[in-house]
Amino acid sequence: MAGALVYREHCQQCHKANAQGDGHRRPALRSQRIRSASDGDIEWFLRQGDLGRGMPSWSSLPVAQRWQLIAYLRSIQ
Amino acid sequence: MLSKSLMKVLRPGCWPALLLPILICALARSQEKPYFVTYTHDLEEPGNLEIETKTALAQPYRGNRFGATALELEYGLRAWWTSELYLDGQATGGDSTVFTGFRMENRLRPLMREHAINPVLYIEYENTSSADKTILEVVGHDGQTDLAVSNGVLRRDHQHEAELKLILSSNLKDWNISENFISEKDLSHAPWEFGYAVGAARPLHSAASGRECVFCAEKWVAGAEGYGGLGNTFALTTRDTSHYIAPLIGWQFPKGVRFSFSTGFGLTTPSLARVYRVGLAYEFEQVGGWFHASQGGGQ
Ligand code: HEC
Repeated sequence: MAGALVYREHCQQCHKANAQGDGHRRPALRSQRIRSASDGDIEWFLRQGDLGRGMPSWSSLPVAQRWQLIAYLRSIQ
Repeated sequence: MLSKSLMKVLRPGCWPALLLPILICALARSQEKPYFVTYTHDLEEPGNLEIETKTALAQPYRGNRFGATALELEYGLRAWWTSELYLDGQATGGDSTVFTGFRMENRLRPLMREHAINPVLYIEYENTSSADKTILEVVGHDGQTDLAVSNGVLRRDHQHEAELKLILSSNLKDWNISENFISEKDLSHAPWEFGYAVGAARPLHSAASGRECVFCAEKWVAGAEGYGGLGNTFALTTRDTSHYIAPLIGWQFPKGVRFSFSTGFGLTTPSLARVYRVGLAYEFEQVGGWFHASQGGGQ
């Protein structure tokens, strides 16, 4: 799955290999919050990031790759 | 033809210096754009350290060809704050190889949200000699005649400079478009000097293919940047200023080094006719975590 590769390249360093988070400020991405968020919400959040809390903006990734990431996040819930 | 003139600029003795960064670099990842002069609003991810070399190769009119390298160490202190140290050196044919100084720079993103246009403030302190030929910015009336003087003479002239940049940058669909406004001042004397840089780039293919591949289109980013001087507070004019247009290409190795290349074409008489640039970057992830492992570092 393409999103898995993009995840490994850009997200894994903080959210860890199986998206369980680092137990501190980097949250797990297999969570009720992700399951209940819409695709549009997640895409918006990836584009925005949350710089103040340490989540970079991913607006510099091609749009298609952000959607591939969302498909990947859905697949691991 | 292009490669022939490049070979002319590169003496055999230059190659080890150029290839060394490749040996140092082994693995990297980054989605940064392949600009050499223009900055985007992409900052280093918090806790990551990027090591990058940017080499400029050129020959001023009636001067000796030279190769100048800036070694950059770039660290993400916070998601909104990146700090960088540059070490500069150059080798001039028929002359000498010299260390030309250092620069320290901070980039700050004042707005935490992503907007249509994202501002970043750039503040730099520069302690270099006039022999610095990295051409990482063009300001004032910088021109090729400055680069044709011998290293022995240039090295005697030291500069303590402050540089401020306003970086404006937008990511629109798959495009990045960035504009930089540059002002630089020698701390010991006037005037302020001004310059600009603009760039646009996009990946050749936007979706990831889902397999580890070396040459697939998604690994390549192509674009162009333009940069030049805008005079100084004594003569705020584009007369006798240098301007360049530089097509560029960037290549992201699968888990590896980011490579970039550009050929800058001088547009005015004071400009160098050509500037070839080669960049290599290697990103170490979560270096902050090495020092306080339980914290996960950086942030
Ligand atoms: C430098 C570390 C870092 C990287 C790299 C990173 N994140 Fe994050 N991420 C964070 C932090 C810290 C938060 C928590 C932000 C907050 O509290 O608002 C977060 C939050 C999130 C959230 C919201 C989770 C929630 O429950 O609210 C999502 C979704 C997310 N990241 C996805 C990603 C994806 C996808 C990538 C790769 C493209 C990525 N992150 C890369 C640090 C990072």
